[in-house]
Amino acid sequence: MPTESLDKPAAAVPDPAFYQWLAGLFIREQTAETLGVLKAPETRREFHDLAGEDVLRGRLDRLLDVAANPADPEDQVLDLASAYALLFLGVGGSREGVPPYESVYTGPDGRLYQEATAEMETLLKDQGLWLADRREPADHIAVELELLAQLTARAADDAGAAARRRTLLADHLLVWAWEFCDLCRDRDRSGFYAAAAEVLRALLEAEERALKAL
Amino acid sequence: MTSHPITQVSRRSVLKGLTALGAGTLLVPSVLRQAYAAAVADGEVVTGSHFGVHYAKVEGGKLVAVRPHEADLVPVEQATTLVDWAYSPTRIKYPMVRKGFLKDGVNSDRTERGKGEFVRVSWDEALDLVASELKRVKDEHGNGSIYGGSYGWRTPAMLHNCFNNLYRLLNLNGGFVDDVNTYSTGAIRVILPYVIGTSYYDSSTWPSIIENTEQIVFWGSDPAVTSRIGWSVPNHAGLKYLEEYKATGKPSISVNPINTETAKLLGSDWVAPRPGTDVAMMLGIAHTLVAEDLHDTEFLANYCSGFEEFSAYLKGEPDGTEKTAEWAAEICGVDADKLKEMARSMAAKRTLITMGWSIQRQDHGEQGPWMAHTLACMLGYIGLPGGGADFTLHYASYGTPKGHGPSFAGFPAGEASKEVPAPIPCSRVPWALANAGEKYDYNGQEYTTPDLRLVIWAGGNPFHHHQERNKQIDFWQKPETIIISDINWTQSARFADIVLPISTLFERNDICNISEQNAGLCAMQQAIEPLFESKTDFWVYSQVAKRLGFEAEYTDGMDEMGWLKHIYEEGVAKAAEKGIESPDFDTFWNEKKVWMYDVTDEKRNYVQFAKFREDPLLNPVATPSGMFEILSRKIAGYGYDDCPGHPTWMEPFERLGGTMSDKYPLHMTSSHPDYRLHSQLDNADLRHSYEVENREPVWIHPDAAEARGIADGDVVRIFNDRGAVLAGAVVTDRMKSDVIRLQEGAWYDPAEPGTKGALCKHGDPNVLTFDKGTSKLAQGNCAHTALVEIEKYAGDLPTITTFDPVA
Repeated sequence: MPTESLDKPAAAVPDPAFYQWLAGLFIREQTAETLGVLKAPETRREFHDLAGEDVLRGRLDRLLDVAANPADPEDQVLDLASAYALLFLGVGGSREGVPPYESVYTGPDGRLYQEATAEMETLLKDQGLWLADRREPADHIAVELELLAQLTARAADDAGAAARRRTLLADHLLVWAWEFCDLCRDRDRSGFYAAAAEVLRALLEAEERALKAL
Repeated sequence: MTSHPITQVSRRSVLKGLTALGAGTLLVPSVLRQAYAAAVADGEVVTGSHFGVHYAKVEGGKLVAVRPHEADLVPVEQATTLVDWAYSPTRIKYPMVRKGFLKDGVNSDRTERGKGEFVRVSWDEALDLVASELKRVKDEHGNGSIYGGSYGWRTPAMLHNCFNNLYRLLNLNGGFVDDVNTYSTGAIRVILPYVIGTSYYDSSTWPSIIENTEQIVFWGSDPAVTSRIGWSVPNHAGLKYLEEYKATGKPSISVNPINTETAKLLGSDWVAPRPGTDVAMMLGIAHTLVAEDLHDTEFLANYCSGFEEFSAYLKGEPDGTEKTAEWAAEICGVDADKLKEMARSMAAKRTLITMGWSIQRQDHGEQGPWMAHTLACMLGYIGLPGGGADFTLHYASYGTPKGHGPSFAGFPAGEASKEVPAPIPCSRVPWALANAGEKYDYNGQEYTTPDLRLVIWAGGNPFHHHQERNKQIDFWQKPETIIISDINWTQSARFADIVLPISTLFERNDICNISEQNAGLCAMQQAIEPLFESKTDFWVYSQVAKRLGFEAEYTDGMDEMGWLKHIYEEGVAKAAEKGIESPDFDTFWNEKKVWMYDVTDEKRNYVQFAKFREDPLLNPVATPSGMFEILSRKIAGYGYDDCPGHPTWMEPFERLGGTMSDKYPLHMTSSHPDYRLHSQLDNADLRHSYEVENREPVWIHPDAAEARGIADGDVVRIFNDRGAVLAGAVVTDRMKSDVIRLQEGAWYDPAEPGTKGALCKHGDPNVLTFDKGTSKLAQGNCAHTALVEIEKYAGDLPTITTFDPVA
């Protein structure tokens, strides 16, 4: 029940900054600048500080290590862009790709813009939010993660946001994101997105535990 | 799993943490913004497609249903799949550049094409790259090194017509090399002007035919299928007329190796010759007409030239072979008695021969239509209502009376440069791309292939429509730069260097005429916002024009709605001069939306060549003799060994009962698909209603299936020396026992992408066809001349991946 749960889950869930950051990581390719930040020692310290938990720390370290040690430093940006396109922009198709859309996992025939999109749009509208541009449908993993960040930040003060947060997790992310993470792990040849997906998995496992603890 | 507490969330970490992670670098820009705003209102809009006139229903900014408009006389199934087509996972979402091309430009490894290595770029980067490549090739090699023919079935539209948008760009850029003719009508377009002095597409009207004919011979044509689609927005009048013909109870004959939908509908007398032997069959009928004195000597004398020479050929004077019904029967596989019966029946009844285009998409394809017209001359019913020979009635809305309303010029392509090499016959383009400086014959002249370096293709799918895929892959590695703009990740897009995403008809505003006969005008109103970063062709090429310094010339200062109003007002102003009244644009767009034109009695009862028949001296046909040319001295003068001066039977490079039939004893017909428009809609859900094991269905006769241990529902491998494809067996006796039917349009799906010789997992017939011109005259394609063998597929079934965005 929303009123009772305001404090408990808030005390047991990951820092929303991680969701906001992962949303950015899954919505667009890395640049020299973003990779530079990931390689900076302060980032590792900040991550450790925010993570709190060992499993998550370990997975964050793994991702930062991958970012810091590319196979070909000169072409790192291009190679990661190609890996990104292979996984998330359809270049890898159904054998090598990882569609970042919930509809593909829960709707008919791998189609886009199915029920999951409509439900996500309702959640966004209810929260007074909308897509900054309409390039991607509302059931893109990045949209769901950014909404989760926003709702997490507001859940303590806003019973509606707390309820929507549970809906977003129970009816969406915790339904399909596992398969998304599995596919990233199995299909990403760069190692970078596989590592990022493992960070996401650790966060969602924490969310699942927190939900069950309610 | 773990007992210790998880991260403590606090205001500090929420606010500070967001910025602390790399001072925001990792976080911006956000994908969300405050406040919801609906982009497009809910409700229904009017639109049209190649599959009819529709209402498109929008809910919550999404397209949810497409239903037929009242103007659509016989709605077809294809329209029901348009919603899922728009939301197909095969949509190109962003501008993409092949990885090697992005890194190394024209020096990249071009064998990477087709292998699916792409990187997303911004529209700015993509447009800069397109503009700089056009400039580079123009500066270094000249406009004659830019191929912009862009052949294909663009979305019907007056403004967002991808060809005209591309051509306008390339014309403003100083010119480009175009193509000429079509894959559908390559031979017929060239041969018929020599014979009848006019183009192939001037049909008598259906109302006149239905009333006056005594018999229709559907020769290699299946209008019940090919009238489902239209180059313009169809209202499917052709399908309605077929029903009306059926209601008369008048007879019909269907000459076809397949028992067609039309033949089933009309209960036609089905006569099944060996594919590719129609000319011999018609010669046998012609011989019977002469032998039994059934031919119209008066018509032949007054309206035709060259019958004497042709008659000598029938009698075997020049070659020692008399073209008797028995001779013909030996070649075509239809009994001599049946041929004689057909000759008598066609002579006794006022007969209309309506010939399809498969007859001319084969080796020596010029001969079939020429011979059919010659047969009609001998029968003598040309120019009389309900008689003669026709070459277009089977397709789209031909035979519909022309509307008495405005016609619209549409978005102007601009003036073509005369300083560039001549257009290339379209089916020779892939060969030409890889063979600069080679000589070829076409239509009485010798040409040299230009040095093509850059290919820019809008809205077409050469990796569907071209023959002999494995040869094509080689050809495709030659050009330095290949740019494709399209809605979906077709194989053609996969084989490109720069790929530009285009929005569907539901995502922009336009207008289009209804039917090729200009029966009316249809608004095409935007239903939804463009998906992802897709844009209209108009926007794309205006942005390239901007970078090349002629944006103002490209747009003429008008946007989408400005152009639509301009195109409309230009058309109605001209119509007003002829006394046709029209609503103003706003009234049409906001209130009328679909406007069907009146039809005059004269147009309703139009009979092709009636005026010529009335007075051949006053109204001659536009041939050198002013008469129908059974003998063309002009063609004879070219001295082509593969296209002599009158209709002639020549052995094709392979056929049943002839060359190669020992090795490959089955003939593959690749007819127009029942439920697609060529390769369009193959990525839509409707395919699940006809596919077998996710593969294109292949029809196999029970005898052929039994002899090979193939059962209905099996996956089979179809092969010849040119390649191999998998398909799903449908065992049916709806064709001759040594013919298989694999309809064209199944997306090529190579087991090893981008690799020559790979097995197509899905059933693209053009892996098996031969890349050769019909003759030196027309250089059409020979897709219907193809022998194959077929076997049950024993290997593990490979997954279909062609409908993945890129595989």
